[in-house]
Amino acid sequence: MNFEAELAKFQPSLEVDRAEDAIYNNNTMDVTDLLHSIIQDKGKKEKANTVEWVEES
Amino acid sequence: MNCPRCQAKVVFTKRICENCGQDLTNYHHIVSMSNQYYNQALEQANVRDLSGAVVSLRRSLEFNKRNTNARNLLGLIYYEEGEVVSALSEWVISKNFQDQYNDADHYISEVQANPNKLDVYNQTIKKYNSALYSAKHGDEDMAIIQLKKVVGMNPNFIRASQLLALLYMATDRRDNKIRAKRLLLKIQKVDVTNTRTIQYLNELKDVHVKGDEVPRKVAEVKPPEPKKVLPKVETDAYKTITPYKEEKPSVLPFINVIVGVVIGMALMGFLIMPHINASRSKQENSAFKKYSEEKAAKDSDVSSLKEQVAELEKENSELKEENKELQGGSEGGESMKDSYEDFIAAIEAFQNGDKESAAKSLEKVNPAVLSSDTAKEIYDKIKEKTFAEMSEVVFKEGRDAYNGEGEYAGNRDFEKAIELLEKALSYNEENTDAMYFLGRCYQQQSDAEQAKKYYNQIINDYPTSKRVSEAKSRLRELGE
Repeated sequence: MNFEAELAKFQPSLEVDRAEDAIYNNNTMDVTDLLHSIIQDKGKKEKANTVEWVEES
Repeated sequence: MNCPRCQAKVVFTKRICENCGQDLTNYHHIVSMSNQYYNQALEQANVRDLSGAVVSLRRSLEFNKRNTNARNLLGLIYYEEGEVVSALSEWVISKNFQDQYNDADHYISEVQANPNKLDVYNQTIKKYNSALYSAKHGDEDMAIIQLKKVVGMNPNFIRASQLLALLYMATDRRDNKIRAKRLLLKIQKVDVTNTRTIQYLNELKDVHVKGDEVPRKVAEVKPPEPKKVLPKVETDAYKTITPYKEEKPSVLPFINVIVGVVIGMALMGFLIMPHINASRSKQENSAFKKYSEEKAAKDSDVSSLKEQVAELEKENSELKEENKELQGGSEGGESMKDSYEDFIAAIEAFQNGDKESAAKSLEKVNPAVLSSDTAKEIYDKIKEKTFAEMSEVVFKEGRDAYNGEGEYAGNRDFEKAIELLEKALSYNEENTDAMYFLGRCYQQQSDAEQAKKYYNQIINDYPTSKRVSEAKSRLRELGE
């Protein structure tokens, strides 16, 4: 066993002082976010492709 | 679940949002996948496959980060592994996503209810981080010391135990390897499928400790059963199955101890103490009885000794009296020796015809000391023949003193007369002449009572005496 390599795998544990940062930084995107984003994009595209009513003069 | 477009609440079984008309088929699949991973994690956690459960839960959250059940379970597993701050973070995020009816509330309040315990957990984390820093910078000994404390304070802290085991293994000492294996076997009971733990245990295959059967069990772990599909039900109706709740500190053992102590004290008070008191009072009674008996015996001895002393004193005084009588006589009486000398003198004087000397000598004799009857007869005979005459002689001398005649011519001396007349009476108590003149003497001295006494004595005791008429006459003079 490579001691140094094994030691390198160990990461510091989360302390109370840094818990707040960890909570606020927890904005990872999940699949539902992704789906929501796709739906929103789709809605924008549909809106862009829609021909607005032009009143004739 | 909520519509990803308008965030309106939608029943899980619906395929289209009734609010905005959004097609929810894909969204429904995503939430279902998240729930499937959550169910898988629950099964893994049930067999203490915590590492596998963590992977499943993270995947579940990747699909749906709002799956609060999955997040709460992840927090519980972190808590079980000693990662308290990570656990609290997950619960706080869960609370952020679901403000009401969230189990995270309970978990957070449970941890915050014991600030000391939370502080201990935080200290263990800080010490772990410090030890990790020391180990990475070549100070393994310091790291081992700190990690020993950490493991002592929080035995479930898996990462700390693994690091300590790794440091032990790096020392290449057999005793440290045994310690490492023990540590690893211990934390394997918390998380049976932790890859790192299993890897380290494989490294320590040649090291044997008592109860070393855990690795075999791990090898025999059966492949997981086919995945189960969540039933399609309302999300609100879905209840989290969370078997890994932190055990509440039970007060029952404490109450049992108190009840036991109370029962023990009651038994002591009702059963043992009366027996002790009874035996003590019995001892005291027997001691008191013994003391009383001894005292009674001593009192008896004292009283008998006192009686003996009294008898001895009486005997002593009798002997002293007897001795005194033998040596010189007792008070108020003639000694035996003097009495006999006077008695002999009286006999000689009587034989010589000197009755006066014989009477004087005989007067000094104490008749009680004359032991023989012959002596007493002689004493009585001489007394009879001398005392009457002597009484008459002394009377005449006393009468002369009263009348101022003879030896007392021209000088009447009533005092001397009384003295002589009383002496005459002592020689012969029937000498009425002496009585009469004693009465006259007292009458002359104006002592009527004494005078009457002698006059009455003549009249009453000797009515045939020639002095009776004179005595009566004198009594009349005195007013009788």
